[in-house]
Amino acid sequence: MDPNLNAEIYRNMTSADIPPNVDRHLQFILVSDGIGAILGASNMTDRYWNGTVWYYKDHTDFNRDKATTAMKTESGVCDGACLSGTNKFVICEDSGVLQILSINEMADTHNYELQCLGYSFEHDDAITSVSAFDTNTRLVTGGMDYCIKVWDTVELYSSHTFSPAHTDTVTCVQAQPKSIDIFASTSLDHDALLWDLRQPKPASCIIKNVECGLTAAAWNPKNVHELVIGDADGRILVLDVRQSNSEPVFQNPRAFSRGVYRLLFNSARNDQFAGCCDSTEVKVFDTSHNMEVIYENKNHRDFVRGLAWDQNCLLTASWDNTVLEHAISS
Amino acid sequence: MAAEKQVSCGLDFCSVPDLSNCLMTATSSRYDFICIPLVHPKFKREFVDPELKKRPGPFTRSDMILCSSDWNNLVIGKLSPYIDVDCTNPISRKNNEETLNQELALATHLGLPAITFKLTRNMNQNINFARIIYNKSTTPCAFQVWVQVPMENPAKQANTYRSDKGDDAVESTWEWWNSLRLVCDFHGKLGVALIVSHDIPSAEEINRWLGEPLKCLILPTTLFITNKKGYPVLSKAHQMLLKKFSPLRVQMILSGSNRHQDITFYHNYLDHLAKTYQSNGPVERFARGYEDYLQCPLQPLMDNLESQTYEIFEKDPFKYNQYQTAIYQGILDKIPEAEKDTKTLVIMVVGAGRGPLVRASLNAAEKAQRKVKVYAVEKNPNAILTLQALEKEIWGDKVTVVSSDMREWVAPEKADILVSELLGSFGDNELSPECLDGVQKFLSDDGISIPCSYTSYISPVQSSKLYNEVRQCKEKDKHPLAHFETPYVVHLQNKYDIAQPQPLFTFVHPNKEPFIDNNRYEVKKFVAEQNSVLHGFSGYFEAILYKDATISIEPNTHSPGMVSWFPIFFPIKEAVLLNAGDVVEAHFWRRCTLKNVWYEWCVSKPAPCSIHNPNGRSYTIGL
Repeated sequence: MDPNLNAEIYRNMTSADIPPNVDRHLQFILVSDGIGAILGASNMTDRYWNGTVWYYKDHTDFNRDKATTAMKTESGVCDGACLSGTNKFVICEDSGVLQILSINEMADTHNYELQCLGYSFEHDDAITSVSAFDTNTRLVTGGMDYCIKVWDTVELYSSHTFSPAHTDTVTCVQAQPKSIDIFASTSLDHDALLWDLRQPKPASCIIKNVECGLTAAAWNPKNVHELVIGDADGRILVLDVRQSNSEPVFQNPRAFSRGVYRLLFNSARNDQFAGCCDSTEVKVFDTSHNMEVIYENKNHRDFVRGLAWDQNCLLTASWDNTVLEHAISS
Repeated sequence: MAAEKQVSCGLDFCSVPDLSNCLMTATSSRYDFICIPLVHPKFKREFVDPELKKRPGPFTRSDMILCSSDWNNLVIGKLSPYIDVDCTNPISRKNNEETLNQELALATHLGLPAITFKLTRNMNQNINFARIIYNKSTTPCAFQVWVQVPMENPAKQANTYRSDKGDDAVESTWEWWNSLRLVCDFHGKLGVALIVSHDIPSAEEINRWLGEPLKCLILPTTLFITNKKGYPVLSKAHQMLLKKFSPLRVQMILSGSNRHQDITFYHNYLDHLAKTYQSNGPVERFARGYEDYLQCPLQPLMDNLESQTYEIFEKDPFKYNQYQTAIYQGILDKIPEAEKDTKTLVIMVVGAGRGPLVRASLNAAEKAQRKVKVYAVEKNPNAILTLQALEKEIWGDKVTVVSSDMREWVAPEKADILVSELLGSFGDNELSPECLDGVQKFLSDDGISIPCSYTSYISPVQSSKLYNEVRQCKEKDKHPLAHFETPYVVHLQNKYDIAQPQPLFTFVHPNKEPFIDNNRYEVKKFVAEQNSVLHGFSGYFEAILYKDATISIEPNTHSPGMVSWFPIFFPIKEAVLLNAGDVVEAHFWRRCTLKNVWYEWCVSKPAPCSIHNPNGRSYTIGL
């Protein structure tokens, strides 16, 4: 190999020549009763920026080699949502693609495979967030194209398109628990909006943040009017959505050291929610005790991106290529 | 051989899983360049925390994937969209600043032709960002900065979904761009990449964009509709929009998800439109390559024109026909039918050059069936050679060639018709008044001057491109402001007319005033129709040759196909911000001495600025 041809040799290598590379930037983790766990990851720094989703029927060990089955995606994946009570889930990609996948057990071999049931590329930029409504027949997605779309999961067509819904990247969309028409959205444009699809003018402002963009949201399943929002400075705000544009019920300006990435309530214990940010921090807050931090962990070695609750166990997935389990005591 | 490409069209990728594959897809679909994120748009980095900033591994893919000529020519780098260097939290700001610096440094390293980012708001939340971009632009970095500006504020559409918003007026996105480039001092590396919207703004707003340094139009695939054959096409309104931008020969970028069978269809359609819109009239053909190129006005009185210059001007298809018509009318008015066999008319062509007006005079006489005697007076000894050759071989004794400056010549008899073409882009700026005043003593009392009058026009204009061009005209051995105190002849394209032109100075010939004074002073008031930036004044002229025969370069009455004159441009030192409804009060002086003539100008409203070119310190026209 000529030393002066380094660059050309590198350039002319095909994917077959390159040693296999596990996509290591874990982006989301989903746990669904009776189904198992789904892990999604991208590669964002090497030659190819693809993604992978892994299915674990038994989710005690998240070693990638132990996955029940896996599927490559053309571009990176950043979020997913289970259609609970079914063997289906959706994933959204950096290319703007939305896919519905089903987990199928082969009758003959009893092996599992992931099958794509539907595929849509209506978003014009990367999708950042997806959330399923309780009925599982509806989804909502938001993306870097400032656009929000509501989808029928049966036919995978978009029933509503709000373009642009915000005036900057939509960072998070969350369907309200027990609802089929209401969801919240946050954006780097500093706004959090409440959407009611039954209304001719569906959106109204929940809060306009002064300091910085809003980056994450989660509904309290026990109190469906309570929305927790995170912002780009690491602030956490608790809001009552019945009062539009009002002061937060509670706020913690230093909940996280960096911009909040994801917030998630524990459906088994509704007063607990977990959060992660652009750092290694994982925190669990207790809403019944003034948002007290009841758990804190910094064992990840890179940004934490995925959160999932499995009863009182919190699972976190990070760009450090690991999934950690955190036992949260009550 | 493939037909010449009409439009440079790029393809935008929101995600680039395989870079070399993306580039191949784009080029095989006939796109000329690609826009890609340099760093994965979701891959945030930490620069403050001592542990996390040591994150092992690369922050993006290797430059070796493409060869450097591809990076240098085919790739526009997109900055990460989440970067917010104007946030208040100091740690967030530090991280965002370092993220931005890292991406700018990478763009420099790769040698990209340009970087691009989207503006989402006005300058009050973008000042620090502007500072960093301006700092980078003033370093000897190679890349241009393409600022993506949506043609329509996204808030307008977003508000229609909101129950808590009425039809509130939203801020014009032009203000976002305007404040950014003001903070960046109109830096020449900054250009606009205009994102075409579904709803097209008012014609006035579009015209204002035409005065901006547009680098490209970004066309989202959602703009396209599908025709009967299944191909992507644009609505009539969007076609008209592209047509308006086509004289600026801007590039295009197709963005968004492919909504048709093949991404190349969009390109083919845009190429087809560009071909349709390319105007190929005589003026466009003549001026190609001279768009917005500053030239110093000719001084034919002081400097003798070159053969090539004569040849260019003689090619004008319209001007000499119009002169011939004027002379024909004049001859008929001077010699009634009854005297056609007895009377011989004396025509003096002063400044005959290589003789086109002599030819026009002879043609006119022939057509009128009248007898004429023509004097061809010319001061340029080299042009005299041509005239003498013509006299000897074609014209014979109908024409007398006189080698003399018209102001010094002692004519043997008086003329009935005095024909001259001494007009500049601003009418009197080649000193036609002084020349004709000098020679009119040889015009009989009831004689005719062709032209018999001319009027200059000015209009306030916005053009950061011209403003920048003028700034670069600075010369070492001249007054430091000389380049701003000189008018330029320029084929104006990339400009916005803030208001309609108004007449300024008029000269009438022969001048029968008892005391001839060619000094002038006029004050003109213009009203800005919308917020804009005043960079100077464009100047034109209109001349009445004789009766109905006129020539004009004033845009509203421009003579069809006449290529002899480009407009003139009077710059001002400091750009003036205008609000809709503001009155621009412009003062123009024409000042004369025995040796030379010059213009002085200034703006007194909305805010006074200093007089340009006092005493003709930077620019005079020699007599």
